[in-house]
This record gives sequence, C-alpha cells and structure tokens, in this order.
Amino acid sequence: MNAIDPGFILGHYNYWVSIILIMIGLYALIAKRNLIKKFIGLNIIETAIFLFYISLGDVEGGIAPIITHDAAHDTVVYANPLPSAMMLTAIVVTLAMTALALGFTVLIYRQYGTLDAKKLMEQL
Amino acid sequence: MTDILSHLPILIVMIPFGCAYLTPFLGYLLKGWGRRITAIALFATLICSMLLVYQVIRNGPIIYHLSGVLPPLGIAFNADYLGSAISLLISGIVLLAVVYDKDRIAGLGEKKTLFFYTLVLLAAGAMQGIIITEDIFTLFILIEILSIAMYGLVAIRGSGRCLLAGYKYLLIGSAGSALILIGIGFLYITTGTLNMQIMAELLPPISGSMTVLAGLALLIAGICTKIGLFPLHVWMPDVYAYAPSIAPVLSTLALKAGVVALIRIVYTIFGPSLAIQPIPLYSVLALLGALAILICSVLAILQLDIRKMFAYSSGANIGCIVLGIGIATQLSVEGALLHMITHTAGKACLFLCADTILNQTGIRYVHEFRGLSSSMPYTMAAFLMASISIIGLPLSGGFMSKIYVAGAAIHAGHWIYAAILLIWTALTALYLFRILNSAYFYNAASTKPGRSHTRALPANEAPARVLVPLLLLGIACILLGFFVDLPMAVIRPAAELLIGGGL
Repeated sequence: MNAIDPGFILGHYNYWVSIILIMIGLYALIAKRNLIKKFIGLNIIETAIFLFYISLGDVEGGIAPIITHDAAHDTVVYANPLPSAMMLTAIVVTLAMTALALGFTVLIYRQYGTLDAKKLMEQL
Repeated sequence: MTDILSHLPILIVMIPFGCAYLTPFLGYLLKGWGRRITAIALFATLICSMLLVYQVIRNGPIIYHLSGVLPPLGIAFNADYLGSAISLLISGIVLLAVVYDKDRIAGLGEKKTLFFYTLVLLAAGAMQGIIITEDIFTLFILIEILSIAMYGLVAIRGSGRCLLAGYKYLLIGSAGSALILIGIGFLYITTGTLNMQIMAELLPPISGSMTVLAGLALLIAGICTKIGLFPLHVWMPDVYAYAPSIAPVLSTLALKAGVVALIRIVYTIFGPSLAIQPIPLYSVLALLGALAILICSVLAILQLDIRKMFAYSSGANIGCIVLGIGIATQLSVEGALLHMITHTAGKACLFLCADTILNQTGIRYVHEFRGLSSSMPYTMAAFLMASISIIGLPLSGGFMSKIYVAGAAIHAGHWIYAAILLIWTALTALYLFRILNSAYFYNAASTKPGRSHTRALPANEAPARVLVPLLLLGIACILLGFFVDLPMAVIRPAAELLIGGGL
C-alpha cells in the first residue's frame, strides 16, 4: 500500500482526480478576482466531493442496489447506496448556496457596477 | 400527555422549522402578525426546552430515534446535559431578541420583514438540531441550513455594504462547509457509520491512520471557520457591523452552536481515541484559543465602530471557550460551558443595546457616545451591566466563568494561559471603559470645537417594550455571578459525561 506504487495510484484514480479537482477549485476560489469565478471554484470543489463520495460507495463488480425477490440475491454484490443518498442531499444544499450566491452577485453588480473582488473589498 | 413529552427532542427542532414556513403566509394574511407568530413559536420551543432540561436533570440523557429506527440504520438525537442546557439558552435568547424587535424593521419593507422572521426561525431550528444530533451527516445538513439562513439574514437589506459582507461570509462559510463534508467522508470510509457513538467505539484501534487524522483535521478546520476561531475570524467584523436588527444576536448564538459541534467532534467522537493515541490536538486548540484571545482583543481596541469592536470581542471570547476545551480537564470544560452561557447573555445584551442606540440616535462610533447616559439612562444601564459581565469584573457572570477557566489552567499547570486570561481582562476593560467613560463622564455639549459630532437624530430613550428585554438580559448577566450553581447543575454532569467518555 505504498502511495508511490503505480498500481496503487492507478487503482485509486478516481480519488486522485477528485483531489486534483479540489485543488483546482481552491486555486480558483483564492486567486480569481471575479466573484462569479470565485464561486465557480467553490462549485468545482463541491463536485469533486460528490465524485469522492460516489467512488466510496462503489463495490467492485457491484450492481445497483435494487433488491429483486425473484433472484437469489445473496450471491449478488450490491454497491453501497448510502453515499449516493448523502450526495443527493448535498447536491440540493450546493444548489441552494449557488442560487443564493448568484442572487447576491446580481445585486452587487447592479449596485457597484463591478464584480472585481479587490475593488469591492475596498468599499467594505 | 406523556406521549408528547417523549418527543421533546424532535419538537424543539420541528416547531421552529414548521412555523418558519407558516410565517410568510399567515403574516401576509394577518397584517402585522409575522413577529407575533414567530414569538409564539419560539415561546413554544422555550417551553419544550425547559421541559427537556427538567427531564434530563431528573432521568439523565434522552436518546430519541427518528421514526423509531435504531442507530446503525436510523438517525438518533441525543439530548444530553450539554445539548439540553444550550438548547434552553438558545431558545431563551432568540425569544428575547424577537420580543425586542419591531414589527417593521427599519430599512426593510413589510414583505422582507416577514422573510426576516422566517430566516430567524430557520436559524433557531437548525441551531437546536446541531446541538442535539448524534448523526454526523445530519450535523452537516443542519450546519448548512443554519449558514444559509445566516447569509440571508446578513444580506437581507439587499443593498449597500451588507450585501458585500454577506457575500464574503458566504464564500468563507461555504469553503468551511466543503471542508466539513470531506472530513465526514474520510471518517465514513474508515468506520462505515455516521453515528457518533458507534464511530467513537470503532475509531480507537485505527485512530493512528492517516485517513482518520486527515478527516479530523478537515472537520476541525471546517468547524473553526464557522465559529470564527482566530485565523479564520475575518468574516466576523463585517458581518456584525452591517447585519440588520437582531442578526448579530443570532450570529452570536450560531457561534455557540458551532462550538457545541466542535465539542462533539473533539470529545464524543475522538475522545476515546485521543486517550490512546497521543496526537497534540488539545494543545493545538488551547494555543489557537490563546492566540485568538490576544490578537482579537488588540484588534478590538483599534476599532472605532462599536459593532466591529464587539465582533472582535466575540472572537476573543470564542478563543476563551476553545482554550477551555483545549485544556481538557473536568474543570476547564465546566469553565468553557459556563463561559458560553455568560458570554451569550452579555454579548446578546450588548448587540441589542447597540441596535437600540443606532435606531434612536444613529450612533455607530465610540466618540459619539458622549453624554448618552443622561439621555438614554436605561439603555446605558443595560449596556453597563453587560459590559461588566463581558469584562469580567467581580460579582458578575463573566467573572465567574473567566475565573473558572483560569483556575482550570493553573490547576493543569498552564500558568501562561492563566496570565493570558488576566491580560485579556485588562484589554477588554480598555476598550469597553472607553465607551462607558464618554457616555457617563462627559456631557454631550462638552465636545471640543474641532471634533464636534452632530447626531443624526435627537437622543430619546427607547420605549418600554424595547427596554424590558434589554434590562432583563443585563440583570441576567449580573445575577449569573450570584446564582452560578443554577447553570452548574447541568454543566457539571455535562462535563463529567464528556471527559468521562474521553479521558
């Protein structure tokens, strides 16, 4: 289980991808000056977290967890549905936050005529 | 009747949530009833919290299973000593704040005032949920509900600086939520459960693994963003300065709910593991708390806007509570919990006084307070009593809680932290006495010629309806120092339960 082992890296590629996406999002959140770009960075972070959680629930060779009574289902491997269910909730939360943030940006643009974070923070 | 009483833990969460959606409709149909419906809902919550505290003191913690499904699958609410005590505090202070508030908040139209009260109720329900939930994902959802309600409350005017403050709060707060969500994911991979108690049982053998430690670090960082612990306090001054009406009071309470979430993570989930696996979490928390106390106090002295000053003061007080949590002895946790109660009462009173003064006279800055004690004697009396408690002068609530934390620090051998608490008292006195000095010992007319400040409105005393909640809170701040045994009856078993489960 050495982290530099290529087999380990390839075997966990979806986790690596989500970590890379989180870093990209964090960069956009901190470095970009446009308020909408900042929030897109945050949305990238959230999406990467959804990918991370859904990867958690996957079981190798697992099928969708719908229990059917006709098959002998003790031989079938199911994927874990709980992380996906959690992410449904988290997606709703992120959607609400995005809507709120975009609403704020519209109002800020109407009032100040700019979305440049640096100029706006001077006003504060 | 016993049937309803067994559902108290869910009632304190669901009464505010349910009424939150009724308020705009009923308020629209019955003109001017928005605030009254809110107050009635919060009064019902307060009664439920009181009954809950009574039951918990008599029969011990109540574990409530949502829809009757047992923990590995279902969601549990655990109304223990800590949860019920803070629940009573939150319902009491929110009710007082709403009673204090007006039917039409200045600067908001009739429609927005209704939505304001909806958000107040949503925030109150979410806070009640955060402090009693035992499921870590439910904790995340409730923290999100609370945060989104708070962003809305801060920016509800929809114009000017409060929008910018709201956006800043939203960006920092959402980044904190993202950290909490990843942290929960890490703990879920390693334990396969979301229930805090079961997690605590499963974690000790694997607590050395990098995954668990990363999860812990992310959770602590996320929660610290929400409670504004020192390096992450940057959103607080702007939010407190520009939030309308009673929003700063709710924010003060939201910080306390976040602190309870921090206590749950540090003691309930990681307590047993930390006893076996020595990682320096406690000393890091104590150090951050001490730094928060010193730096936020110095920053508070530099502020001229009294609300920004109070915001930095809140940052310092959160530091004191986290210091108490970080020293991690029975005495220090008792001190931290007591300080949560005394600080909430004192700071809520100060923010309500600041709002009254702003409404009556338009005063925002320290130097404008000259001679205010003669024109607004009762408001300034409440302000004085709350200041005494926040500074920690003897015979007040704040004195008892500070001396508790300082005593615990000395008892645990951390002399330096006791010294920091002492310096903090002096620094707090420095910035609050400045206001009291100009209010009580200067005449409004005696301003120097070069620095004449004309007030926007003539200073008149606020109506009695506004003064009653202010004076009640102010007197409570002082009386907490005399009747400290009353909260201690709940706090002592709460600390025993937290420390006993952990160390």
